[in-house]
Amino acid sequence: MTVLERWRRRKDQRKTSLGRQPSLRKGRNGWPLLKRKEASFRLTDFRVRNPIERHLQQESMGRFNVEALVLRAIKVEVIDLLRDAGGSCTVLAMANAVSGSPRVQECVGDAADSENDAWGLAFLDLIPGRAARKKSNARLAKRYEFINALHKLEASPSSSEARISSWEEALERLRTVLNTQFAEADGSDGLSIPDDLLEESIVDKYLLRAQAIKLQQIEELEHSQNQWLQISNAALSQRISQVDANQLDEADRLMRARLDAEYEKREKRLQSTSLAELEAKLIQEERNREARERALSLMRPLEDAELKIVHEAMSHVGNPNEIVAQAGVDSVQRESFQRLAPAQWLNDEVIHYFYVMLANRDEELCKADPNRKRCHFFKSFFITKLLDEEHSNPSLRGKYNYNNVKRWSKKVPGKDIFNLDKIFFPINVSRMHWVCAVVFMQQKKVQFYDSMGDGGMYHLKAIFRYIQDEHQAKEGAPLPDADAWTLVPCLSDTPRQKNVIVTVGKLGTPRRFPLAHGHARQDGTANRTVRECGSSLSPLLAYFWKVLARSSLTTYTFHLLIKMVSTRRSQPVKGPAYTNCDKDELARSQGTEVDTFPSTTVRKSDQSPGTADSTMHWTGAFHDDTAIIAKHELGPDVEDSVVVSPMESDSSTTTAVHTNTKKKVKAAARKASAATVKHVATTTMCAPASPPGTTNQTRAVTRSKGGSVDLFKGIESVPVVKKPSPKKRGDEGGNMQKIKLLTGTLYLYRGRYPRAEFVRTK
Amino acid sequence: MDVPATTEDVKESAESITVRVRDQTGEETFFKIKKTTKMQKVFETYATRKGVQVNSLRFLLDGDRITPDQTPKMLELEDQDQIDCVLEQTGGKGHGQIGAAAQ
Repeated sequence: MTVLERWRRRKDQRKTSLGRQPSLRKGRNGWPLLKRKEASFRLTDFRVRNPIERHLQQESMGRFNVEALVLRAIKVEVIDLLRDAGGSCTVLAMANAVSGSPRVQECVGDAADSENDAWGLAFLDLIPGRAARKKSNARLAKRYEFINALHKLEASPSSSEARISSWEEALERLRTVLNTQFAEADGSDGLSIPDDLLEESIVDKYLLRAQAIKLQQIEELEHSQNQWLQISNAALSQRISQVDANQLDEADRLMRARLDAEYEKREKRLQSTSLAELEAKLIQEERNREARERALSLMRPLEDAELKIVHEAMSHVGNPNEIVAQAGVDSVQRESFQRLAPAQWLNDEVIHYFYVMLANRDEELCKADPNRKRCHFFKSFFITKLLDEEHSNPSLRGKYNYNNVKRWSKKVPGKDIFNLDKIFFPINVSRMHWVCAVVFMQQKKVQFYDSMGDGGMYHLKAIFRYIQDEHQAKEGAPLPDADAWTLVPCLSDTPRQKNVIVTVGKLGTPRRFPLAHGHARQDGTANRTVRECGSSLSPLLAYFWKVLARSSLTTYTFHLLIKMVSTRRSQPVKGPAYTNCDKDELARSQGTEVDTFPSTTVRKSDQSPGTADSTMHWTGAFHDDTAIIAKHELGPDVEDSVVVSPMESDSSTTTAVHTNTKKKVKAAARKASAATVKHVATTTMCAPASPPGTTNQTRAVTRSKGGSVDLFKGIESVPVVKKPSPKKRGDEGGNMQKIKLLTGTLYLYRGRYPRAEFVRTK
Repeated sequence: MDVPATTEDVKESAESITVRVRDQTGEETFFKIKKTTKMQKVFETYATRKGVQVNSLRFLLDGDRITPDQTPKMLELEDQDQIDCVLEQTGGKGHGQIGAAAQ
């Protein structure tokens, strides 16, 4: 048999099977079991799923049995209708009214219930679920039955024409569809309706009855309330009669005595504060009031011309370096001035300018009042320098260094800080926050003011030490009454700012806490956040975009963290060696620099000045090592002004590196001197735009640390403006491998920026 | 642009002084300048070399700012005098600075 034949045969078989008669097996009810496809359109004919419909189908043949109650309800309805319609109505209207009447329907339902009762199924509604459903179904079925029967009456051909004028006629019509035998057999009681009921409106009757019921309820309620009142009153009077009048007097007396004692205590407390203190307080209050008034008198609305100036400075586009305000040597550039706009951080120029204003005012006041002593306002860089906050050497960073600010007191009025009234130290905390410390020279007090409420003992100690050192240096003797001095941390009455930073906790939940505050440190959240930042940027970015999508609160955090990350990146290379946020490394670096990560402004108030504080480098090129390495890499071709670090570091390894590199630099410089003339032409092209005709007087000179040997003295070397080479990125010297090849040298860098560079030899 | 000859420069060197610009990391850079040169020149050269904008740097002499228009003569600078260079400081601790923080 070929394949084709087989296919044809199968096709024929299929044809015959389609033409085959369906099997007529007998089903359960004697109905033929048809194939579903054929049976489907007839299904409703013999398989009624809805019990009500099934019931209706079964019962539709016979007349509806009406009980006495139902018939009575119908009678009431019909008589009502006849009266309303004026004596006569059509059969249709009558049937409609009867079938639509809720009262009749209710009666029909009750009839169903009574049937159930007759079957002993009165408990059905007690059972939840199926049985109760069954009962309500039975009620519904009965109603449908009734309505259906009346529909037959409505559908009869003469229903809209034939009129009825009395209950007897109506009953005659109803009998065609309703079986009233049961009702009539029940007795005449069922049909006899009292005349008074028929006379008045049924509705009114019902309403009256409802009112009567309500009135009865209210009466009952009042009655019960009265009873309760009587009982409680009785109980109360009984108790009162029991309490002795003497006892009441006793309690009153005791209470009075206690109150008197309280008053006495308060008076004593008031007396204990001495008169002098009160006087001082009053004077202080008076002074504050005066100061406020004076300040208010200075606050005047700006004139149009002044407004124009402000507007020009604030909102006009212009050179950001343009100086918009100048007082003496202090100035405010346009960019800094625009930081006075709302929701901006202030920079040092603005702060210092304000201090200059204060200094000028102080000067005027002192001129007016010769007894008044001058104040001095240091720049915020004073603390930066005093604590060497950003020194490249981590072992020196954050350490007190008097020599850095030794000469700063030269500019103090009178050149003597001990003859001043107050000294103000604006302090920038980690490039994020402005605080202030004030030395009250006459009161021998150093106080700290922080709008975030940080204690500031770290700065206070440093400032006090500066005063001691200054005395030692200028007067030649230690501060005489050092014990009399007090360091006052930020007090609770210092005004606070309310817009605190929101940062993200461990699980990405926004946490709100002031970063400068000590308690945030306790759970280490800030540290953790910062450390997590240190790991790498890209997954963090992805993560925080996710967080951002969820809450707008973290928008700020996001930027903050980005800032932190960028800061972390530009950390000096010579920090604790951790590039990735390895757990072990973190554990190792515990307690060293990481604890006081630059961006964590969180600092314990009792932190010693020894630990490193904020360090933020803007570029890696700031670091001396990198600069020198870059120079070394570039070889003598680069006619750059060489930067030599004086290297005050104590670590032997770094100095070793330096002496080594210095030699190389010297060698390079010697070569460079020969090549200078050749390169001058090219280098001047890149020099900063100097007006033609003027000579380049700025020269960079290479010097070594110890000696005063000016290698380049007398050599024409024009400073080269050179963009920072990408090679200047931070490299750990040890992680660089040099492979000499035939045509050049291959530099392999491990560490933070792993890469390979090939330098062709000439 | 004119390139002064070596011999002239030697003569001029009598008038010129060397100033140290010390940044906050402790690194020092030396500039040999004429006493009549405006300090702006030093600032710009220094900023370019460091790769930062000149308006983000503050140059201080004994705690006072040096304006770009001043010259060593006006400042009474002597040979080997030190100029402090610090970076701009910002702060606020508030909700602001969103744009600036992202920079």
